[in-house]
Amino acid sequence: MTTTTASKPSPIFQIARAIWRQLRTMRTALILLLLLAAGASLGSLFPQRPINPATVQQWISHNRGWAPLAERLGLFDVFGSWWFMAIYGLLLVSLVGCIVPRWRAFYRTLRARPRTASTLSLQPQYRSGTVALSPDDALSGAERVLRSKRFRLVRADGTITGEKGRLREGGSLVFHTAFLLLLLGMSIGKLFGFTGQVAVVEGERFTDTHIDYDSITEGRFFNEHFRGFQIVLDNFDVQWYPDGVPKTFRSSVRLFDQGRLIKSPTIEVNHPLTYRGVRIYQISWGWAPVIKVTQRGKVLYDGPTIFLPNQGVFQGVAKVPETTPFQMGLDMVFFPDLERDVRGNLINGSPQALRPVVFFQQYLGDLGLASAQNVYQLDKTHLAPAKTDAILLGATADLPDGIAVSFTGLKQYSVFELASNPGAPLLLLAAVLILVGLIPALYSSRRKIWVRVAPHNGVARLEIAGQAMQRKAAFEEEFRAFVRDLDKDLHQIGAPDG
Amino acid sequence: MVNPDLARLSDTLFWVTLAVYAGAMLLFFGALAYRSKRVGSIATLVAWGGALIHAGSIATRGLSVQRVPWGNMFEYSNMLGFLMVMTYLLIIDRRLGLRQVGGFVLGGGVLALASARLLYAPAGPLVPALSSYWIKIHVIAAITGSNLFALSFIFTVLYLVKDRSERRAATAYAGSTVGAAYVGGTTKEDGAPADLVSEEDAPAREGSSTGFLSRFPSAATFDTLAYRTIQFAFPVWTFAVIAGAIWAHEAWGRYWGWDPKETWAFITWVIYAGYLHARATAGWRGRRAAVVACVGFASVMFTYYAVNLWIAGLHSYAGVK
Repeated sequence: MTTTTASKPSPIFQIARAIWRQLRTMRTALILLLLLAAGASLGSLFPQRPINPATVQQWISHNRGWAPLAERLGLFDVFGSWWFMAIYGLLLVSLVGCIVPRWRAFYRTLRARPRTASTLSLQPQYRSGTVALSPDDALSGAERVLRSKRFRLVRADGTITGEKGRLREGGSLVFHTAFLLLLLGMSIGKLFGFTGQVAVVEGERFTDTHIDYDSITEGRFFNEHFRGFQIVLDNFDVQWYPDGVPKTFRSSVRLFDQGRLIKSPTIEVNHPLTYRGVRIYQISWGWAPVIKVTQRGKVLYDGPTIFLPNQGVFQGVAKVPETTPFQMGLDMVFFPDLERDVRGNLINGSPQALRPVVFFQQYLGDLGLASAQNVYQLDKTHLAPAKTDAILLGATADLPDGIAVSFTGLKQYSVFELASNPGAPLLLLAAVLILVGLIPALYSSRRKIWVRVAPHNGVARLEIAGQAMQRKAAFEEEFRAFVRDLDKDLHQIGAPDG
Repeated sequence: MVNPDLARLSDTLFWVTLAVYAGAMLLFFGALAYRSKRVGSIATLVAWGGALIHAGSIATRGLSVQRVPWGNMFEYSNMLGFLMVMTYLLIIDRRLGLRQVGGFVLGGGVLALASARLLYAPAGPLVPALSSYWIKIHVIAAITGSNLFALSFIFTVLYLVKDRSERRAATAYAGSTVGAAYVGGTTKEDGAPADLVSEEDAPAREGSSTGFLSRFPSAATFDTLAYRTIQFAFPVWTFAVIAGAIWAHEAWGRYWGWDPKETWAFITWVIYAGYLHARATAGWRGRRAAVVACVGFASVMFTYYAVNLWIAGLHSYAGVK
C-alpha cells in the first residue's frame, strides 16, 4: 500500500475494508470453523426445544438458577440462536469473499497459456544435456512425451511449457461453492416445504388438508398447497422376534385421489410412499382401545381412542360432556399384556396384546370444552376425581348415576409423517458436488514441466525443468520418470550424448 | 433365524482374536525395544494370524444372523478393530514398511475389541429402522472413516512426541528452537511436508533424536503420514455424513434434524475441515494443526461412544442393555 491517493477514503471505509480483508483470510475461516464446532457441541449437551421440549422443561426445573441465563444465551435452541447463525453467517461471508476472487483467478488461469519461466536452471527440478538431433525434432519429442502424460502444452520460441493439475483448484472451488448450493437447497425446503404428522386408527381415513393433521410445520411460501388425497389405513401389522425386538411395522393403506383409488401400497420404516411430491413415512404406532360410555342405556361415547405411549404404557383420555348431572372425563392407562413383576408392580409383560386391560380414573365436573384444548389431555381445573376401575377386553365397569364404561374392542393406530421438500434435489446435487470437488482438491497437485531446446554446436542442447506446488516429493519421482521417458523417446531418433 | 452354533463359534473366535492381537502387540513392542528384525517378523505373522481368525469371527457372526455384521456397537467396534489391523498389515506394514508403529496399531485394535466386549450384544436381528441397504453404505463408511481417523491419531501423537524430542536435540546441539520438521525445506506452501519417502532415502531430512525415539522415523514423516491419512479419511467421513442424511430422509422424513449423532458427526467433520485449513495457515502448521487433529479424534470418539451410550437420540442402536 505505497500508493498515496489524492482523496483519502473515509475512515469507516478503511475499517470496513480491513475487516473484509481479515474475514477473507484462512485464519479467520479456521477460527470460525472451530467456533462452529464448539457452538454445535453445546447443542448436544443442552436439551433442545425443537427436538425435545419436555426434556428442556425438566432441565429448567432442575437448574432453576442457571435456566434464565441458558435461556438468554439461546442454549435450548442452539441451532436457531442468533450467535450460532452469526458464526455460520460470518463463515459464509468469509467463504464468498474467498471463492469469488479465486473463481476469477481460476477463470484467468483456464484461459491463460502456461507461462514460460525465463531461467529454467533456477527451478526446483532441473536437468540439462545434449542430443544429436535437430532442435525441432528434439522439441517434438518432448511434446510427444508430455502429451502422452496428458500435460497441457504451449510451444513457443524453442520452449515447451507443460502444465497439469488445475483440477486441484477447480475441485476446491467446486467443493466450497457447493455449500452455497446446499444453503439454497435448505432454504427452498424450509420456505416451500411442509411436514405434518397424523395418527390414523385402523379402518379410518385421513385427508391431506390442514385440519386433518395432528401437527404441522409449513414453509412460509407453502401457501396451503395441500394435495387433498386420502389415505385409508386398512391394517397395521406389527411383528416381533421372540425376544421382544420389533421385526416389522407395516401399514397397509389405500390411497384415493379425487375419489378414485390410486393404489393399495404398504408403508414401512425405511420404505416411504411417495405420491405427488409428498412422501409418507411410517413413524410410530400405538393402541386404540374401543371405549364405549353409556348412561342408562344411552350411548354417549363410542369409538377407538388413541392412547399415546408413555414410559412403557399407553395413556389416553375420553371426554364425555353429555353425562348428567356432571360432565365426565376419563384418564386411562392401557396395558397390552398386564403382568406383575416380583415386587408386585403392574408392568407390561410384552408389547403384544396378550392380556389387554384398561385402567381408568373417572373425573366429574366441567370439562372446559368451551376453550380450545389438547385432545389427549383432560383440563382438570374444574374436575374432581371420582371412581377408579379396571376393565378387561369385552368387560364393562358400572359407575354411579347409571354410567357404564366398556372396553369393547382393540385396534391399532399408525402415525404417519407426510413431508414435501422441494429443496431435496438441490441438496443431493450439492452433496454430489461436495464429494466430486473434494477428491481432486485433496489429491491432485499443480505442476509444470518446461523443456527448452537450443542449437549447440550442431546438436540440440536440452534444458528440462519442473516445479510442483504440492506433493513435491511425488513430483520429484514424476520428473525423474519424465526425463527417463524423454531420454528413451529421443534415443529412438538419435543418440544423446549428455 | 439366529444360528446359535455359528454365533457361539463367532464369540469363541472373538476371544482368540483378542488374545492373539494382544500377543502380537507385545511382540511388536518387544521387537522395537530389542531392535530385533526377527521378532518383528514373528509379530507380523502373529498379527496376520489374528486378522485371519478375526475375519472368521466376523464372517460367522454375519452368517449366524443373516445380515451385515455391523448392526450394533459390539459389532461396530469389532469391525473397527479389524479394519485397523488390516490397514496396518496391508498398507502401513507392506507398502510403507513402518513396522515400528505395529505395536501402537495393534494396541488400538486391542482397545477396540475390548470396548466391543464391554458393549457386547448377543447375535440378533436388526430392528426395522436399520433394515435398509443404507446400513451397508452409511455404516461401513463411518467405520472406515473412524478407522482412518484412529490411525491418523496414532501418527499425530507419534509426530508430537518425536517432534518434541527432535526439538530438544536441536536445542541441545545447535541452539535452534525449530523442530526438525521445519528444517531443510520439508514444509511447503500448502503446509504439507514433503511426501512420505521410505526410510532408506529419508535421512537427509531425518531429525536427530536420541534413545528409544531414534528408532522411529522422523517427525516430518509422521506429520506427513497423519496428514495423508486425514486427507483420505475426510472425504470418507463426508460421504458417511451425506449417506446418513440420505438415509435419514428415507427413514425419518428429514435429512437433518440435529440429532446428537448428527450433531457430533458434524462437529467431527468441522474440526477436521479446520485441520485441513490449519495446515495451510501460517502459524498453525505443525504442532498446532496436530493439536486440532487430536481434538478431532476426541470428537470421533465422542461421536461414537458418548453419543451412543450417554445421550438419548434416534441413533440409540447400541444394543447395550
